[in-house]
Amino acid sequence: MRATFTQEQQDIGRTVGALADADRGTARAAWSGGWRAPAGDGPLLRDFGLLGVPEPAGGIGSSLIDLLVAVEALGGRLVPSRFPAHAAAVQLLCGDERSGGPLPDEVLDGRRVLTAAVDVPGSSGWADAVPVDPLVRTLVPYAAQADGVVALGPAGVWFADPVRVTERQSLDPSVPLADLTVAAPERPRPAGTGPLRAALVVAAELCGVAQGAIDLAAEQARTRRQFGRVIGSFQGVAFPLAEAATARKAAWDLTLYAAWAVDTGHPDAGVQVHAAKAAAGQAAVFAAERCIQVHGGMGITMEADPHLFLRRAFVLDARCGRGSWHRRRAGELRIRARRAVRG
Amino acid sequence: MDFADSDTDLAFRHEVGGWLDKALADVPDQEELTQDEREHWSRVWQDRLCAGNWAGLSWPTAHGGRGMDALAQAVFNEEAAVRGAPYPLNGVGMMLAGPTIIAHGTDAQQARHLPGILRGDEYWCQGFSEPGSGSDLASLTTAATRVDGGWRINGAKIWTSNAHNASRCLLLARTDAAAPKHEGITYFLAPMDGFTVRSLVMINGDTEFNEMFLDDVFVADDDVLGGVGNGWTVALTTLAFERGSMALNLWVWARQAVDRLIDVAVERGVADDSAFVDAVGALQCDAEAVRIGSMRMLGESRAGGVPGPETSALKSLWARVVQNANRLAVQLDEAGGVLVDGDGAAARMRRYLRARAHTIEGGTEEVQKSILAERVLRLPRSR
Ligand SMILES: Cc1cc2nc3c(=O)[nH]c(=O)nc-3n(C[C@H](O)[C@H](O)[C@H](O)COP(=O)(O)OP(=O)(O)OC[C@H]3O[C@@H](n4cnc5c(N)ncnc54)[C@H](O)[C@@H]3O)c2cc1C
Repeated sequence: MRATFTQEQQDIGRTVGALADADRGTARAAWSGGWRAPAGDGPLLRDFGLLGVPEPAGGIGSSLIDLLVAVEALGGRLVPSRFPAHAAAVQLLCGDERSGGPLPDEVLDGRRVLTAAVDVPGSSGWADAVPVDPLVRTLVPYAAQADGVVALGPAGVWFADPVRVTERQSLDPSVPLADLTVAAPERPRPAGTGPLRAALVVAAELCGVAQGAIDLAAEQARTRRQFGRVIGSFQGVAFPLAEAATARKAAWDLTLYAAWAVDTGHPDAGVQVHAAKAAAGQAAVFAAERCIQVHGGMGITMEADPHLFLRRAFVLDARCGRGSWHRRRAGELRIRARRAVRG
Repeated sequence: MDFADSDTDLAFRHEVGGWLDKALADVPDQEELTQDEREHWSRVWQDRLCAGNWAGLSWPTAHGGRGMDALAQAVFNEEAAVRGAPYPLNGVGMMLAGPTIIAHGTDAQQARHLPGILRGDEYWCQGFSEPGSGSDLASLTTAATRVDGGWRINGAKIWTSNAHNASRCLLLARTDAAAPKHEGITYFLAPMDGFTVRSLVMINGDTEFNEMFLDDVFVADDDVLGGVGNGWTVALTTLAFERGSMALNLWVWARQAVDRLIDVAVERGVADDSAFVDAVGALQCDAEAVRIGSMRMLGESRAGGVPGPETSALKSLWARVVQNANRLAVQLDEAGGVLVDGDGAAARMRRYLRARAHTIEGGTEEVQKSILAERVLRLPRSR
């Protein structure tokens, strides 16, 4: 067992972290004038497109964890790059090794930017059950800014032609969200573990958001003084942040393990992914709420950053199956497994 | 990052499993036993571990151990816990006393104390906490005064697990009342002949821990571990081993608590209620996080690192899962847990009440949080 990051994974974290640092503040910029591609968007799509792509899909043997390390680094700085959404769409296509063959070069080298259409209006889970209107999807990120859509339906996944795109008002303007009506698939391919893979991309970004919120909150707790001392010396301030750090660690560990389980075809993969997505959403929302609290009145202003973490956390928690839905799925699968053991 | 057992790990797991299956064949399910019966089996189990040469699994071969690493110990403990093995009665000896003596003891001390632990004929207890010093352990006041050839010790210790079975004590006492509180402490490997041990009844009726009174107890110079005045440093070593050994079992207990909860719910026909399913989903997240976090911690230590403050996060998560699962299990009982005349209901309530200690023993929940605040979040000391 080598349950440690490889040298390569550490390098990915550092490189993407440096790109992301240069793009700090771009989430805020979207508040005036809407979303614009951050500087790192192009390089990320071009140079990191093979991360996490299995070999039959055209990859070079990079593991899903490699990709998640990159996405987590982006989440920590709230970089509004299309890369995570594109990567989730690619992963959605990578769930069944026997079908499809390699993905088109222009997808893997980022010339054709994809987004994933997974969530169904009025339902908290992803589209693996037959929805009321089988061809409408919601919460699709960067729909207008992408060149293609990968849709998930009960029959599988497919490159979908949007018949109608309705831009919605996103809680987080740096992540535009749209409702899509897509054309019926001609030949969908089996989704396999695709939805699980896509959900993990979102979970990893949530873990990043949680970390970013915790870092910002801790910075404030170390510097802001009241009653003659820094507020981080009050346990009422410090302990909830310790809880946030614990929840974030739990979520990240769950996410990494789930990625390993999916990549290695572990029979547990499903329940692990559901647990990871649920825990990541909860950790990110909790951390962002605490971050606002630690900032006092400043935390309630548009001008300060804490609310940006909360907005991103909410959007990601809702996407690719809502956190509450994943939690229930994790519970159902856990109970089912125990019943099977007991006979 | 790879969570799979290597071929050697797998082979070892197989060897361990084979031995355990045989050694556990006549051992009953511990959960349904009285405390006396459990202690009996804990003693039997300790003897079998020693006879099977497992007691020093992760001790260096130079000290009579098998020289295997922490992961091997983890695999052993995991396989044992999964099979519901008893808790060995000399856990303090194998997991705390032995490793601390290996780290800080003189050759003579190692030669004197280690074989007894491996053979299983000397049991140890951990005499750290005092009535006036719990979380603030360094404020301890048990006093050792210099006498010819050693020290005369007076004071009281409390919450000492298993003192009623032990003959040696890892004892902290103040040897210099004038020194700053961390510097005046000395660590003794004390024989317990002169100790008065009185058992304390826990809220669930069990008597796992004790109070100990030391009235003019003599401890020889030979039994000072790590030098006079260095007790705090040595104690930190013991506490580090305590945290390290935790990760080896915790996750299994967390999973078993959730398993038992589901079994009760199935029995009561409520396992499909959405509120219950949601609760299990949340417990599953925490329980798996303990397991995976433990694997990552072991991975780090195998790669040469030392377990960091993350162990505090694991302990917190573990305590929460076990407490919440056990609370839910009693609440599912017919009368909400308050009629304890049935065996099953009584056992569930006993476990629930025992689990309340998980946020107190081994460093309270609040202390774990303050460790995280200081060492992970780099906030100022709040204690
Ligand atoms: C089942 C069990 C077995 C044990 N076995 C052993 C053993 O074998 N050997 C041994 O030496 N000890 C043992 N202990 C003792 C254990 O280590 C102590 O109980 C623990 O360290 C807490 O100390 P205390 O009980 O004095 O509580 P206190 O330290 O008095 O704490 C009381 C409450 O105040 C809180 N508190 C204290 N200080 C702070 C602070 N600065 N900030 C915030 N909150 C604070 C605590 O978290 C706790 O909630 C055992 C305890 C239990 C329950």
